[in-house]
Amino acid sequence: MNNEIAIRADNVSKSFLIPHENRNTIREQLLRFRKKTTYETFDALKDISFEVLKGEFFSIIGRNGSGKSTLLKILAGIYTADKGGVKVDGEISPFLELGVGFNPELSGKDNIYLNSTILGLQKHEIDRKYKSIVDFSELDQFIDLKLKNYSSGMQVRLAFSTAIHTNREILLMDEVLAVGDARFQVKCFSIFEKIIKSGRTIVFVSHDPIAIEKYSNRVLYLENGEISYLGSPVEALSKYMYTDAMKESQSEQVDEARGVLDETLSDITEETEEFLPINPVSSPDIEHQQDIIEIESIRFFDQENNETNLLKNGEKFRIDVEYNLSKTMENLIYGITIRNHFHHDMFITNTEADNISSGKRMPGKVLISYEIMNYFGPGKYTVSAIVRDHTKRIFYNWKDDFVAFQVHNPTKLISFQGMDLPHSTSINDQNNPG
Amino acid sequence: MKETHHKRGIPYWDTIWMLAKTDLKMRYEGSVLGIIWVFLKPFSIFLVINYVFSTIFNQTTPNYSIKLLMGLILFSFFQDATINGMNSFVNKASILKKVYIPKWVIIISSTVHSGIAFLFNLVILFFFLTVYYGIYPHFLSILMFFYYVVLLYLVTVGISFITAPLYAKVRDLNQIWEVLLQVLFFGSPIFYPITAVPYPVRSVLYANPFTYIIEHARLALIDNSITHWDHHIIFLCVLIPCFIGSIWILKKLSRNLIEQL
Repeated sequence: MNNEIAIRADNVSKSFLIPHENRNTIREQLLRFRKKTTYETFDALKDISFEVLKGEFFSIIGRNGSGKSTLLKILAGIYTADKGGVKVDGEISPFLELGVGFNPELSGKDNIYLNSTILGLQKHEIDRKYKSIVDFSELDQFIDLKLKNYSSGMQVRLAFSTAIHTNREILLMDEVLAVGDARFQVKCFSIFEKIIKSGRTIVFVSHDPIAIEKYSNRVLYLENGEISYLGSPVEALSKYMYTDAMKESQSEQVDEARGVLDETLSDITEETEEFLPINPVSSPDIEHQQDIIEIESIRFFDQENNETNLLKNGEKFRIDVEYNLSKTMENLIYGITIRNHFHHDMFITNTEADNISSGKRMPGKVLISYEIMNYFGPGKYTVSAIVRDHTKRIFYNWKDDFVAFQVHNPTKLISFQGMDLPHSTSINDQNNPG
Repeated sequence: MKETHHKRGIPYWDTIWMLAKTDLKMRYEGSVLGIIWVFLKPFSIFLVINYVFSTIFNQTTPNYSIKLLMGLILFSFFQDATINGMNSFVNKASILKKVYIPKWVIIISSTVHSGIAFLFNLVILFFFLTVYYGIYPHFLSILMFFYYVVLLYLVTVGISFITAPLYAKVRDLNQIWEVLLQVLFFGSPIFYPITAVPYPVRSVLYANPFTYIIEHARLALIDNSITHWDHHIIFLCVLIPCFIGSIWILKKLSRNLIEQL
């Protein structure tokens, strides 16, 4: 094997047999003696070949079920490939999950020893590192307490600090970075950067584009068990984001956006209720008249006037909101809110703020168009539409996060879920003119 | 290049020891008597059988009680270790699914944990042997005794190499194994002397590896005699190929095992 190569995968294939019925006991075997068990074959990986160089930060990206974790497990030696093989030069740290083998009935100290030996450390090595592990976890005063008495944050801190002390040449990581409270996370990232700078080989599996973009040398993009792209992070990520957006139909997008938002909401409802938009239903002095005006559709058009949900950063785009009035109405206010994935309001406008009077309207359709310069960073955004009277007392319709659109920027991938404002950057070096 | 290749220069003894220690700790965690159960279990059985056979059936074999105790301690080790060995993959599934550890390490650590309990019991056995019976075995006899213990351990591990991966696939193996252990208990000269069995059946009993181990261990430790070299050679000639076979079976059955756990 070449000295420069840390991991070489040659034509790795792996498929799982999924039986239609599980026969785990002899009785089940006997009862269905005549019937043949039928299997469905699921090809998790199809003929994957790649090399990871020494000292490289190699990321694997892909959607759920694309085979990322299976590949990582084969690299770690947990699964055996059906065909092909993997060669590893150097000691691998199986960093797949934090706190493997942790036992709630044992003390923090015993768990450090247990977890470390499972990760492949020898006792004298642990003795040497023990103090440093405890110091990093900041759990000195709790170390003789049983693990079951730890908070989940404390457990994670203990697991993380044990894991980073294994010090192997090749690290395999499966999204283990975001742990602990905010202060501890900063510490984790700084140690993480130190590990990268120390020249160790890292194989990182994630679907977090920010972390991948920040650290990777090369990115492998897996799609349905096949290599879709292998190379520069920027290319791989834009491909990933692009296919991500193209594959989902509008309704799926909305479902997903809603799902994410629901999760986020349930997480934060308790503390931040006052920051959330006031739901018209729950406010007593707001009248709610759903039947008079229907929000028919919200559609997106790019610069060339093609209807699309995939919008390019830096270009103009248009949002068309179509209402259907069943009565004659006067002086209505129509508005939209654009929110990012984290449910933060990114942009709000309405006809009143834009000084447009809608006047008197006969029953029928009303189309409101918003032309917007796309300064959104790459990511997914939802649009909510509203129609109310000018007193803010009567809400005729309010559709929260009705549709979603995706912003991409093939040339620049720096920030996500925020604003990417037009700007220029320069360095003015005072000490070194010329 | 067919197989996944993993370089790991360090031995696994620390891992085995750590896992075994944890298993032992967890087993008696929260129980009032704790580690005393290690002695209590074979002893209570010993007291019952001893009473039944010495008093009710008036067993006249010389040194009957100490022979019974020895047989029971050896058997309870075998029973405990094979059950732990069989359950090892299923019990340690959470580790096996997340970290690469050779399968044999998991099996050995589970049987070592029973071995620790066994060693505690041996202390009791030697105490009775010397203090109560006044038998002081020869150094060579003690050495031979431990040779038989090693053989018994190899049998145990060999069985576990086959049952552990099999149990992951066929979950009623534990029920079958319990019955087989019962059969083995009555089919081995533990609470009766082998001489009490009439001949055609006695040859069947000799085919049982446990008979060989228990009989010779008693001969060495209690009767201070090491003879029957032909027996030892035959036993090794059968044991070694069987053990190698069990390693091969473990390797065969372990392929794609983790996915099924």
